[in-house]
Amino acid sequence: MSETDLRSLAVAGGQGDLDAAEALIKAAHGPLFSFLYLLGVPEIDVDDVAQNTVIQMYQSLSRYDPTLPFSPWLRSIARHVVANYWRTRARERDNRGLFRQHVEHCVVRDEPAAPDLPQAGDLEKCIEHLPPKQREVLAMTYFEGRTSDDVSSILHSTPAAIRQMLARTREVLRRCIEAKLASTEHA
Amino acid sequence: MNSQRFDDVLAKCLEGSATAVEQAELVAAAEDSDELASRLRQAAIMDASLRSLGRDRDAFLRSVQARLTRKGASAKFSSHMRGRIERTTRSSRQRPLWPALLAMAAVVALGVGLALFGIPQKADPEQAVATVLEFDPAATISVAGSPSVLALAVGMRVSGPSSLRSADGHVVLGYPDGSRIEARRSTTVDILSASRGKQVRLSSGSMCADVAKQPDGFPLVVQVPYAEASVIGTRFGLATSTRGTLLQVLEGTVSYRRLSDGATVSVAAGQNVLASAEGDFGVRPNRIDSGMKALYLFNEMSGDRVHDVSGIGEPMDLAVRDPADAWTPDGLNDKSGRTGISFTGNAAKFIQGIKRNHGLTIEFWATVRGTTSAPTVCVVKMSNASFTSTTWLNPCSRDQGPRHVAMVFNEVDGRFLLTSYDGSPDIQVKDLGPVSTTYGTLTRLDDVTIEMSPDAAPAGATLTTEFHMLAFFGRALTASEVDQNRAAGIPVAAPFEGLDASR
Repeated sequence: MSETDLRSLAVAGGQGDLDAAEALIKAAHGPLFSFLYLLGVPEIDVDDVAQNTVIQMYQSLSRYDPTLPFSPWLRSIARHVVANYWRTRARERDNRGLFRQHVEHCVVRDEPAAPDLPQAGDLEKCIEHLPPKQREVLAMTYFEGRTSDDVSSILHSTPAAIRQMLARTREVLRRCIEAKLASTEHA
Repeated sequence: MNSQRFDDVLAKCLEGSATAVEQAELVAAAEDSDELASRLRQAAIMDASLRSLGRDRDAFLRSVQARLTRKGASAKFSSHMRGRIERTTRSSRQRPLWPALLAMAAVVALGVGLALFGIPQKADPEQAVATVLEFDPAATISVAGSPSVLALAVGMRVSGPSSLRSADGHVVLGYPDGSRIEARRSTTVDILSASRGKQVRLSSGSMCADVAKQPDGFPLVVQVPYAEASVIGTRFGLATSTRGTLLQVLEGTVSYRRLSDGATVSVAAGQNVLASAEGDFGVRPNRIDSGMKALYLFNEMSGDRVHDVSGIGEPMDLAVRDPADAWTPDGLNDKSGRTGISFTGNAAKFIQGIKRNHGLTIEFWATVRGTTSAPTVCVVKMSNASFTSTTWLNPCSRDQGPRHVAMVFNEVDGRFLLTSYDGSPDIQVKDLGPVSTTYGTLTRLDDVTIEMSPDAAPAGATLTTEFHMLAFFGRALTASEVDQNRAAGIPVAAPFEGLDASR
């Protein structure tokens, strides 16, 4: 869904159009969870944080300024909710590990210029075009929650080879998404 | 750090298996190179996007709807969304053919039953009815006064009085005001009245409820063994057990009245109370269940398996190794003092939690009894070739009732440090200190033994251990969390909060 469509839905939702509000929540679902993962919200709490964000968004729709893009507006609400979430969990936040802290720092630092996160529909279409082996490894990792150790045991490979395949797959998907965005803009 | 190494460590960081040293190495490389920084950022974005694909959008919408309903101010929108979601869920749910045939048969049977017993198929508009929203295919319903037992169907109306029996799954009932009641597995719930002043009876098993604000003077009343709960609008769970009926409140306040003496307590969010024929009726804090991966309540009463009842991911059942061990209403009694209970099966969910959170916790309640002054009694042992840690109860701890122990492993600098909490000096932890292993050796539990077993008792002496509860957490609990779980007492049911298998 384009940024223009999201703005229109947000405006309509703010004026009481319930269908628009529902469509907006559905469209925001994937990018919102992606953003929360990037901010390092633990898997165990990400659903609660996402719900809080969407509820705040819904309750603020009447105040949404349609001259501003919708996605950064939603992300600013999410950042506010996440900041509240961490307020009582300072120790857990510090225990996340350097990598997650670094990613969060980069996301927050780069936010003003952040590209929109891929829409679920686009990503699913790109996944459909992957070779079967890559799809299988992707599904085992992201939908079954298996580690590269587990996947390598099942597929009689090595953990390093699985991680390499995952890295390549992510890169293929990134290019596919970029191509889709470029074709959309061109159109 | 070369490019190939960078990609490999990056992949490890994304799946949560990189050590602290590897993470530092990766971040330093990214800070030194714009190209590597960009690669890290793009990989993290794609990883987050792929993880979000696995989230259930319909379930998320249902949760938002429920939260909006509780907030009250957005009733119009929540009602709108509920209708949409239910229609979408019904139309999009991909089911195998046989449940559909079962459902069709159920509808036919229900029609026959209703015709036979004179119950109207369409609800009286003046009387609100509950509707079956989700069901386990083996669940049944019987209408009061009818000998027939009918299968359920999505959309079936339940105006009461009738009796719902869930089997291996769960059954969810929805009310027009947005309230929902979920009968969990092996549960019998009687719907006594579905109209104003809803009345429900939980005869066995457990249920949870998300109740919208009820009209003044017409609370939802749940009758349970030993007590009665009155609800105005809140979220809570109830579970029956041999120890009594537990009420656990997640949001709002519930009034809980003990039937034997009429004593009433007000139970607030984050609290629970156990009602039994006699004994304490005090309010306690709810347990900390965040990060739990497996839970064993030792209430099977027969067989050689202790079932993981956490409801999280694939069950990690335990095997009772000695057929002489006896089940009691309070747990499993290891009479021989020679053998124990072993972990078996796939522990992927536990390992994922450990890797993600860099720690683990083993928590248990047990009672040790004996007539010997034999050496200490081993209760929990976790070991493999290069990793052994054991928690022991001293002889002086015997015959003092159930004891609560938590073994907490926290990863520091790539190694696990062990701390044990029990609230008294009776507990000894053998091999305390930096555990002689690194993070890497705990990548699988297949070759790790987790067992609860007393040491051998000297000839002629009796030495028994009664196990009441055991839980595995994929993270290190804090001291205050351990204290809270001790204060909460021995749990009698799986957590009422929904827990995601992927956590």
